[in-house]
Amino acid sequence: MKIEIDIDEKYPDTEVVIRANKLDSDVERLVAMMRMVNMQIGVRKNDETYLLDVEKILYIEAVERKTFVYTSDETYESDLKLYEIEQELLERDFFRISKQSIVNIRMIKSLKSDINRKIRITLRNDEQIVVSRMYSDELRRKLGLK
Amino acid sequence: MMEEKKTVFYYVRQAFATYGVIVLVFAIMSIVIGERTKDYAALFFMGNAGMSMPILMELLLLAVIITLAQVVFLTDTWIMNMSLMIRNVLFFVSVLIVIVFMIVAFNWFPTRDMTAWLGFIISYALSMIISALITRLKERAENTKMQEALDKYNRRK
Repeated sequence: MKIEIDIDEKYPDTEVVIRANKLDSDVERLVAMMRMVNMQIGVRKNDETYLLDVEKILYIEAVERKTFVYTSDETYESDLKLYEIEQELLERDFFRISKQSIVNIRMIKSLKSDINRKIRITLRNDEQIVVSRMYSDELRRKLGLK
Repeated sequence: MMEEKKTVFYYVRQAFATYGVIVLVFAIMSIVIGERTKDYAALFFMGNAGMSMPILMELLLLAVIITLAQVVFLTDTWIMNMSLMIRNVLFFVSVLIVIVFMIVAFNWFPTRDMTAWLGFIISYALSMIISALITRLKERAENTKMQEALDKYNRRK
């Protein structure tokens, strides 16, 4: 893939043009990653593609090589890998809580200590997810407790 | 940052750590009440001179069973969703049942002596209540601290 960056003051806005001979999965992933810069993520549901505001996301989970995006009332699928989404969203209040999932801290209703120094998260839709021991100390640090 | 993988050696280490505590407690008890009870309780038949090899082996068996109970009730290896309080109660009850069985099986003290049973039950119940209370208080303090930190984080932006 050829990458060309042209920086010049003559351009009023940042513009990204993708030229390709077909719309393949690489192009779709590129588009999805660029959408995240605008606080949106490209997701799919029932063969339809949606642009989802990241602030609406409760958490994102990787299950059997697929990436699922959960909001209060919908579940979507993303073409991006969890680590790709994580890289883009870490600066935006998202936090890795296990090898399989990242959570939107703003969507956490309450936190409870659990067995083996894990943390049980109750989300705003009352769904519960667990922060694995490996990441719970990091979450405590992020919240200023360490 | 990798999570420590629990091998069989982890559990062996844990069992021996528990064994160390049990032997220490029983050694102190034998020093304090050993002489008075040596003609009476098999557990302290050597008085304050120490503990016999069979007793030490029985205590090792107890340590192994306690470690098993810890794995079952105090980790999420088998039980995923249960409050810490209930986990502690189940742990203590299961260990109590095992100790009662061992008292009878190994004749640690005469099973018809109600005073001995009463002493055992009271000391066990006390340690159970204190431990459960400390766990609960620690859990509540930690939860409050985390919730306050979360609220502060959400107010930030």
